[in-house]
Amino acid sequence: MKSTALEAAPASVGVLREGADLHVRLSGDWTLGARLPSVEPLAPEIEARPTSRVVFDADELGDWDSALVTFVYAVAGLAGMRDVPVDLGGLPRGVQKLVSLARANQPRVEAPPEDDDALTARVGKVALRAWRTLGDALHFLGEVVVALGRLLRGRSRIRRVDLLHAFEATGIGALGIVAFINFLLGAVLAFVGAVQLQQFGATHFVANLVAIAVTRELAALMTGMVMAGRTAASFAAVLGTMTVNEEMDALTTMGLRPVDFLVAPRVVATACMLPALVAYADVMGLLGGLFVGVTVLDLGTTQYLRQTEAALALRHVIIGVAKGALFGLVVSITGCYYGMRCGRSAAAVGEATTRAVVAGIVLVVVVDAAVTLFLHLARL
Amino acid sequence: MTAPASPSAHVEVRNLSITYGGRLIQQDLTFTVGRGEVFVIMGDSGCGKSLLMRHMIGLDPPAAGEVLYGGEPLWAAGEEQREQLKLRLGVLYQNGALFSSMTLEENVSLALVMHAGLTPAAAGDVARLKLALVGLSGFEGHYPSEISGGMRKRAGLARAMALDPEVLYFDEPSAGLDPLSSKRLDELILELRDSVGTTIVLVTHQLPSIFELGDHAVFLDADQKTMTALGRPEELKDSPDPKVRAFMSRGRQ
Repeated sequence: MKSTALEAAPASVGVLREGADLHVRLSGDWTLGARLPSVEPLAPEIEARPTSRVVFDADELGDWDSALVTFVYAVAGLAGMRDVPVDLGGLPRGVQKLVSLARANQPRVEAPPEDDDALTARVGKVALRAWRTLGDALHFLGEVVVALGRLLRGRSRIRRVDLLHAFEATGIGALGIVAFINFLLGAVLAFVGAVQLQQFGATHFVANLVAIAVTRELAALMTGMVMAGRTAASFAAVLGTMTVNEEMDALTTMGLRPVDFLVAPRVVATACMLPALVAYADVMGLLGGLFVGVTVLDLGTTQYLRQTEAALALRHVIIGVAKGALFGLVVSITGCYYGMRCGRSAAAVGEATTRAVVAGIVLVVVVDAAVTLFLHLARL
Repeated sequence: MTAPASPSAHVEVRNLSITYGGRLIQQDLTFTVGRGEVFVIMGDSGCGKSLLMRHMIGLDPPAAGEVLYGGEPLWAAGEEQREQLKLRLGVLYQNGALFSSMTLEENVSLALVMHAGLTPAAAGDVARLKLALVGLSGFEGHYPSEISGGMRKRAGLARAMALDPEVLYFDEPSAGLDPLSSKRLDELILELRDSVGTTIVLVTHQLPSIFELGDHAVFLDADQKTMTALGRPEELKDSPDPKVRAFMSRGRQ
């Protein structure tokens, strides 16, 4: 095996056995980006036959850089796994030093737990995590209920200004978007209804459709969704950041319970403000329907309002507003839960916020479906 | 309680074991912090010294062992008693941990209003005094986001001192501070100890602070998962443990 190439000799590796010694001959230029031989063929060589040590010969080695060091380190690793000593003496001094340095740090003994990638294992893991989250969430719910009890009896330590601020942020801050969305909702409903009802010459019943659908169902649902995106996200982000910033710890060491001091006021404020927002959304939705009815469907204002009045039973409004209170509890507790359980990094805050919004929206819809089913069975 | 507390003992840590996420971090920690002394908890990164502090201030329950304040157990006690005990402690967190929605004055007066039952006006007076003590008079109305990192730390100290605590904990006080600010903070700590007699527990790996402030120090070893040295910082330079010796001399032997 003799090569006389002067320039850009391709890297190659040869294996030679002298007794029980395995000689690994390196020749050519070992540089990153060049075509390099793989380590794999050496594995069976070291494994198959009894090898007392691995010796490197580098007499015909040309240029080298990290590519060679990587190769030698890999070979030394293979040999190390089988307790075969390695003689680096034949290599350039630089390579010897770098490989020794890399091998000086013993890899950490505790191997990371192997991820079982099978479908069944993944399904099982998701199920277990969901089960744990459920248990943890119920525990949190219990804490919140106890904290609310203390707050309502006036026995918890909070600042009144925080409570007022929560009222302002969850209520007044949302007026604009709630009005906008529900006005458009009422208008769209009127359009869709009109197309169907026109076929029967019953266009004026659009007012009935809008009145009942908005007050009983849609105003509460839309407002709940808006609050999941707005309030749950904000609670999760604020409480999550406070966790990262050790402010939660600071509160606890000051003898103030975070659930009392931060969560309970937010839950109370949201549960009080959301029904009010739903009532306000009812008016906006009706106005949206009225706007379309008068400008597009040529119904008179008086006619539309009279029709609305006839259709609108008080119980529809009460059901919608009561749903609002329920959604307020769901949205605020969900947001606070993910904020309080936030990890200790910036990425964790983003994750907590995302989860709070997704869980908030899903739970609002689930609660809405459950309430609707219950009302149907109760014939209300 | 096996042995009676010696008269000068203020904080006692007995056979404490610390776990984190099910992993053992430290075990068999036993040491005593004397009344009015500056005690240093030191060790290399990741040895669990901040975690030990969290156990001593009642944030994380220990896997085994107990922490006693003047002979009273922290963890064996019920929650109500623990809350009362915690009010006698002040903590300065690594980045100050100021409440970002409150001004500096509100930050400092919060505990005074909530626990000492002061009126907001009276609490404000005390808060302004505490802020003046740490050199922050004139910044009472500022929010934490409007001041520098060093000022935030001093404001955190003012808040930790609000209820005149018996024991003050500092988590890495000089982390993120320039050498001058960090020296000023060290001097402030000494003045506090000398004027009020507060017991001070310092979590740090800054050698200048350890030698300048520490009366006694404990060294936590991340590999052996226990304390490997306890004594005066000057004496620990000649510790029989080579790792402690290397740490105390910054690797120069």
